[in-house]
Amino acid sequence: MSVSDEIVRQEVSGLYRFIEPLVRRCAELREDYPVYDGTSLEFFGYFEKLGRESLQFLEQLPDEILKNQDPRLSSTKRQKLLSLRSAWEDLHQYLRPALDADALHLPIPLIAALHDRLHETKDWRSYRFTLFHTDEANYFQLPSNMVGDVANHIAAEVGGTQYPAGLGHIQIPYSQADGLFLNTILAHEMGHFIYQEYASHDVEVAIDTALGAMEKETGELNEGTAALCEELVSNWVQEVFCDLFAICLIGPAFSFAFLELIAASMLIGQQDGEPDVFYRFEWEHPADVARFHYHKLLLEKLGWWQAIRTSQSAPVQVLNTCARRSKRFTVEINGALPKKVTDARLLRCFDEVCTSLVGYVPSILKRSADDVVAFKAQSPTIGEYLRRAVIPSSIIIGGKRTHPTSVVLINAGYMFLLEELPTLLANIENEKSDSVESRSRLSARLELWLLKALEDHRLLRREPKS
Amino acid sequence: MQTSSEYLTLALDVRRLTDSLVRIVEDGTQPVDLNASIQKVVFSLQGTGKTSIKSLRERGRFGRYAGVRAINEVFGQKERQEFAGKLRMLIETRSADERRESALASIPYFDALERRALYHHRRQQTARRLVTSR
Repeated sequence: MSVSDEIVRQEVSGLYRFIEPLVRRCAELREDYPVYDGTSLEFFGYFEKLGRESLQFLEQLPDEILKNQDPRLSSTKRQKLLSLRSAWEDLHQYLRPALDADALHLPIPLIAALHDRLHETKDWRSYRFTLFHTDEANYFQLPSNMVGDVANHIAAEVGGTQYPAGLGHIQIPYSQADGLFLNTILAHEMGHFIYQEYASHDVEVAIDTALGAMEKETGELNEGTAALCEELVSNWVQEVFCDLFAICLIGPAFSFAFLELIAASMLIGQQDGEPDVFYRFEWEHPADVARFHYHKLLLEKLGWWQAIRTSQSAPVQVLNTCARRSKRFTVEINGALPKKVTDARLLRCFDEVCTSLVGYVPSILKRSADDVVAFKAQSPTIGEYLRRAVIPSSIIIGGKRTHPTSVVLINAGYMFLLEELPTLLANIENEKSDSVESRSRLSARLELWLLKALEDHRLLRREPKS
Repeated sequence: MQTSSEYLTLALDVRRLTDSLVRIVEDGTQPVDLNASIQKVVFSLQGTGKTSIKSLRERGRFGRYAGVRAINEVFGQKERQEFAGKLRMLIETRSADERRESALASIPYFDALERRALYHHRRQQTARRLVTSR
């Protein structure tokens, strides 16, 4: 049955009507307020351009559909509208969160510090990130195939412009704009982009080797099972890769923040396997306890562990607890694995690959300064400054002025928060060290001091040496 | 639950192939890399039995879990053979008319696969979270 001209024009108009307000939102941005950083403006600019190109394409689409006599051709061209709509619906969900994330509502000094750290590796100097807000109390990386690839597909469909290369996207809880410590988790999300754009080939070779060895034991699998095993191990390994990447980028602060986000201090004093939520491998994520196991291996390898191991803080205790390989992991993926592949065998593949990542991930990052040595030398002095509520942008050690790096500032600050907050509270009149409210308020103040120190650091490192 | 991004990208990959077939039908032109892409689909349609994980990589997007699942859901054994036959004809024939006929006959199969991928995409979440929501 043929479809009337009117129906086709209505269908196309519906999509046009959907895209047009998005283009307008981008076109009507004011220059004075709100203020956005360069990557956000780049994103909005591209969004507007692709939108206009899509509208132009849609103008001529009805005639293109209606010109065909063969129903298979007109039908597939109408179905193209469905794919285009789905693709635009996906992009749609990012525009408002990106608009909400103006410069006043993001931890800009931390984001700048993470970019600086990332760009120390030559191959990644063109990588940059737009930050979006999210209503969820969680951090996300939008996979390359969720934004760039989708935009490129739209561009291919409508004869439009390709997505800017090297532009990644991260979502941050809208309430966390003022924070520093928890937001170090952004480094993990950057890791997803590095994985997808740079490292996936190397890691996939390691995954194939591990799964290939498993296949020698099980015999060939049917294709559904083989694809399932590959998907699960790849998902789990990618998360561990990103954790290790974050630790290489900013040190143990990432582990501390992650532990805080998932309330992993509940593991302290429990026996192996309890609480079970921390021991569960799910579709997209490995068990948290397994993640911490590799955190500790890497911290040891990088020398960080030796610098923090004597701490009695909760994160260090949890990392110690997870040092041994647990025997209590479970795999819960909405249905059991096929009989031929046991949970234990699949987890062995995961472990083999992740153990190799402990060597691989540090090898791909350039480290311009020895952060651990600097941390050991400077963190006591930074602690002294913080105890007196002085911002430690410049510190004097042995009569010599120095500007601690962002990695040293963040980690020294985090250790101070974990170990010395009561001392700071005791130094301030009318503050009670056992008051939760006081601790929370002082923690926020500490984060502000450190964000200011990060901001200063970017200026001070450009100072000519005297 | 796997991310729906895999399914959306699968649908858009299929759409890109379909658009190439439409061009073959309408003006006889063919992108240079089309045969390689079609070959991956043929591999996927033929791989109904046991397979090695390494060979899945050779199928590109269609060898990922989302691709394997969508193909298995949409096509029975007989349809897989028919579809693969039409695609083989498309890349092997030297006759422009036969190529055009094969392309036209393959389009409804790709449309069915695209719809299935979009169906899964709409049912599932999108972003890659740091941790599973608790």
